[in-house]
Amino acid sequence: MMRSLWTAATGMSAEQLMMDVTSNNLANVNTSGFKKSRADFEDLLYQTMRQPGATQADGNMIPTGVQVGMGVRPVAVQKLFSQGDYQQTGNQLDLAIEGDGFFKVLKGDQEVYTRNGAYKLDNNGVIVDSHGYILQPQFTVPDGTTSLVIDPSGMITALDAQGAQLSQAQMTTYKFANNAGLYALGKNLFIPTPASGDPTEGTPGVGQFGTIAQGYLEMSNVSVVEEMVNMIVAQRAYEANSKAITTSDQMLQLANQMKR
Amino acid sequence: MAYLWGFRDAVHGAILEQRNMDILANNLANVNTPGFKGDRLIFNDIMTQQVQTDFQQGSLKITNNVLDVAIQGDGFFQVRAKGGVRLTRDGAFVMRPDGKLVNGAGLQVLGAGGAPITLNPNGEQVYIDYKGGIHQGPELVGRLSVVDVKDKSTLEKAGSNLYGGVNGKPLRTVPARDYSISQGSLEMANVKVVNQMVSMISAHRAFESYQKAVLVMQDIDSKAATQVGRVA
Repeated sequence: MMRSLWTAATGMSAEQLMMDVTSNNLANVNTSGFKKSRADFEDLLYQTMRQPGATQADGNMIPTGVQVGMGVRPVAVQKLFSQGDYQQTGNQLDLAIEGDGFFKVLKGDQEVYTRNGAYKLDNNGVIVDSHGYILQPQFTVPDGTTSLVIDPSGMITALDAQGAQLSQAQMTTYKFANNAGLYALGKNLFIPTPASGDPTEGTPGVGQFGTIAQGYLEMSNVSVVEEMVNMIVAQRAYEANSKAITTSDQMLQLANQMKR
Repeated sequence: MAYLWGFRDAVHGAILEQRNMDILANNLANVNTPGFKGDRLIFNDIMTQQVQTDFQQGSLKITNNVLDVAIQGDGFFQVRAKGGVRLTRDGAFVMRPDGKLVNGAGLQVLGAGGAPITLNPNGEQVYIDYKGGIHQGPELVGRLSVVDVKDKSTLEKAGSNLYGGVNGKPLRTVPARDYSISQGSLEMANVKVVNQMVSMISAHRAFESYQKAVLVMQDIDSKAATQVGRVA
């Protein structure tokens, strides 16, 4: 059968993947700390039907051969860790990292990393995220605390009604050599892989570590306009590939009609 | 079978149009592949068909990703693959934990002098200048090797957005001169969907004509056999 039928089919499934990635980005446009993904493609192997550089019977060399490509395949779905916008919430346990870095929380006994800084207190006064995972290093807000101040360098200070300091602790954030290599667990959580490298612990604001903004949340870095354009591109490319299938099919039909 | 020759020519023509269709389908399948260059089949007669790759500039798509780079003008990036150095126009690079700059498939990106580029994983934000110099803060950590080949017909597509020499022969490259690098963008495929559609229509119609020719010749043959020889 015709090669082009299968070639166009690879194109359609690639565009489908692009559409899947785009719709996940759009679905998470209001997820704080969400990082968008992008599907990357590469061309498949080429079948050589006439070798370029081969010598013909008359002694002339064939300058360009006939190589027919077999379509496309996805090579990576890459997370893009560009900075999201900030949303002011005024909530004292909403934290955003301005710059590089991740928060670490404990999921069961597994250390996981996140950019989502919407924290709460549990019944023991421990700072936890929305799933109840404890922010690392653990901080317990003492009894009698009326306000919690977190400065840009990540120093947490608990104050009572008179403004007296009850306790103080230093937050740490974590950095990876290759953010794109992190494994996404869902729930805005990431775990390191050999491709991302091991986490480096640091103090916010020191070196390449971003500072902490209290009372802010980092919004998703998805740009709706960009995703809309991606969606149009994926849809039109899908359509073009389906036309290639229709045309190949009609040619095959014509071929079948040659015999009466 | 007086029309045997014409019959054979029509079938050959139909096969060529099928091959043309294969190439058009591959172009369309790769319409969203960064750095992809479209192919076209050129044939005067059955013996002189060839596939030509159109190396025209593709449009740039801004991604704002620090390690996405695009070449404007002539030239290729160099990566180290299993069988030797390969060329590519796909600049979607990432950094490995040890700082090595690699492409999406994990192949090391080569710098000037042919050595792999190593960035400082704990260093400052990467800035890539218009000639491919890679800076982290004030420090120049490497330079992307951008090379060109004088005769583009010596390039053979190796899949995975890579080009190698014909028959795996080493490529004769020269440093590219007429180019600029743009950071935070990717070069899109240079396939124009409209052109592909038009070519597809013409391939389809040509195929149809060949098919009609075959049918007519079958008619003539059957008339010759059943009517011409008939005695009143």
